[in-house]
Amino acid sequence: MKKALFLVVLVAVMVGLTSNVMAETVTVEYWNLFGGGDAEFMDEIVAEFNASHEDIEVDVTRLEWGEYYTKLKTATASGNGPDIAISHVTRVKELADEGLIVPLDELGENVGIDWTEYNTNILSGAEINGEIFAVPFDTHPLVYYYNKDLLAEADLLAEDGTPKMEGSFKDFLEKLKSDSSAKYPMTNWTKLTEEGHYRVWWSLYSQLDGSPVISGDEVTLDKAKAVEAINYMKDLYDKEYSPLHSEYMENVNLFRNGEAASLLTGVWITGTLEATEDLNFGVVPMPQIFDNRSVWADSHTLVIPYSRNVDQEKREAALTFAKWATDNGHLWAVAGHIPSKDTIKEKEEFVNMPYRMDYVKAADYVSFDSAGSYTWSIRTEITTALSKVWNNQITAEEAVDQAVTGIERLLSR
Amino acid sequence: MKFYNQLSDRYPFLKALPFLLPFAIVYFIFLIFPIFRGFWMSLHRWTMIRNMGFVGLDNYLYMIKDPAFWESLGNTLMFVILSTPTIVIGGLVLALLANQKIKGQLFLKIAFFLPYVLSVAVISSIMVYFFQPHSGLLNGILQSYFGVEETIFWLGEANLAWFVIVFATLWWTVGFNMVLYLAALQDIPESFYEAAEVDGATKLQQLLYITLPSLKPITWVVTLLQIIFSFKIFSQVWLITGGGPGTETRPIVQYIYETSFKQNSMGYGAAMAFAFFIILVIVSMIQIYLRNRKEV
Repeated sequence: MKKALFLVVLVAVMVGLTSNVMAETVTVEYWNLFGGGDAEFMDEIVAEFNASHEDIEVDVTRLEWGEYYTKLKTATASGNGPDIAISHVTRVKELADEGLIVPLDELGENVGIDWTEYNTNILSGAEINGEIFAVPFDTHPLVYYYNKDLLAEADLLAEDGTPKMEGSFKDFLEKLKSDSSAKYPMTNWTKLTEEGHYRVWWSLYSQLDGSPVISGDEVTLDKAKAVEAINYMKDLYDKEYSPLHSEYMENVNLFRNGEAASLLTGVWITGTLEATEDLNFGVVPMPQIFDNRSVWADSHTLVIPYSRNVDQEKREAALTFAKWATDNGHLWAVAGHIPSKDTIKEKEEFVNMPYRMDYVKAADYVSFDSAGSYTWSIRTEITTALSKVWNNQITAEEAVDQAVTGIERLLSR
Repeated sequence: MKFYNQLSDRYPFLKALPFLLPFAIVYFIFLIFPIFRGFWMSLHRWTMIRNMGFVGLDNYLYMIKDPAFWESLGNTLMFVILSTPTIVIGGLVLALLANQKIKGQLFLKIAFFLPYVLSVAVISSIMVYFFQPHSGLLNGILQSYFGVEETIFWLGEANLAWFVIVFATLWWTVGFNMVLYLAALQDIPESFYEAAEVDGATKLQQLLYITLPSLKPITWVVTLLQIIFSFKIFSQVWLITGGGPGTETRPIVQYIYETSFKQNSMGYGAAMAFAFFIILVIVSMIQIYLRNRKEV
């Protein structure tokens, strides 16, 4: 009995001692939603940060992509949220409206964040009613990858290794189809129920200067422009420039094994393509089809979830990490993403990386589709309507009407 | 302690109480309480994190007028109608096959049952790889060896998508029904068949007049379980077709999930979930009623 008591005391003393030591370093609980290659690069960034900061320990928790926001929101609301978390820029308004994240203007200045260093286009997505709610970390627009060997077969490769697009984009694809050995001139993610279509549609709609889908509680979709964008895409599929119904990895693999001559997808796939043997590829920003160069994109940002007991020291430590991670954006660019700070784009480490400089300008063209709490639902409504057009069930006009009716129903709930 | 003993002598249920309590508490917290909580939520406008105010039966009125609710409920019913007979009969046929006194009988049993131990994520990935249009296994085989020219969009057309979903579920879960049937087959006394053989009954007659009638009770159990499993359809559809094309294979559970967690409307999601719960209670009551009548 005495022995047991002695042990208990010993353990208690040890716990007491260790927690004293711990008190000197601030532990920052950090949640993210990365998977695959992204996750590994992020872990390396955290490891490097921890190694270079003795007083701060960032503790990463990686959550499943599909469940991420459900968990982040419910945990934060019940007071068990992390100290810092990744959020897509298109989710920031929703989180801010719900009061789940805190404004960062002042906090940022305390740790020396200079907001003017960030790409203004990306930063504007994180700004709500004049207050900044998120530290932009990257942006990942759609870009256009092409197989140099297959383009050369059709005499569509310029001397500097870029695609020769003299006529329209469809002329280019037509020539690629007839004169190259590729089975498909292009591929994009066309599984009917997935967002792939929507991303291309949003890019085209934005290139036509389309208005936001909703403003406040009102649907403000520009129907004529929406129809024009749909008809353009319908033609791409009807002429078999891009195969319909392809699963995500399937469409990437069609490009990797040379069956498709080009690939329209997000920058995140650069790392995967680089690791593909015998693939001689290049990349440019998404081609301009209509009036301007807009392109669908989203951004990863770092946000500070609301907590009842404000621990200033912890928040500053968390933002120190955010600042450090964005200051060292070239580490993250390895995954393919475009860094959020314009200053990184001059860093040697970044400039020397292949491919990244070819699409870095796309950051200036990105167009975010954030519609507050409705963003997700609107994407789903439009994706569903689009898929019915591809399946020849309804016309483009009917699809737009159906999407509008669906969105109005959402707003009335 | 003495007091408790005296008391429990008078009220015998007190003796049972400590044994029942642990289960009862868990059952209450995880089953009974959520039912009432869900009903309570369905009477409010409720986002993922907070109660936005009482709205009475508005969510239910919205539901009745919501075409997406009826479509997804119809899809779930469609799946029940398609899958229940297929998987029940499939289980019976496989059990009869595996029950033959032939070589490799053990191998058959294992082969039929094996997919059941896989998780839904695994079988769904296999199915997507098998049925995807441009580099899928099935289209590859059809195009290379059977001279099929066009690309068949297994997941892109409603009828084919239904076929894929039912096929995937059949392959995945039929082993469970087979095991239940196998157990029942072992219970039929060998003497029945011997007597039939002496009387000159053919194998077919033995099957029709001995085997099948003896399997009637287990068929009720299997059908009952299958109908309830089928009503709960969600994961394999979510992972294979995503409810598509469009929303043509989207089951009610998926719609409830999307509404509650993706569209941030827990109140409306709860209303639909509660309505679905009532439907299931009615279905179960009909089944129990029919079975009791049979037994009488």
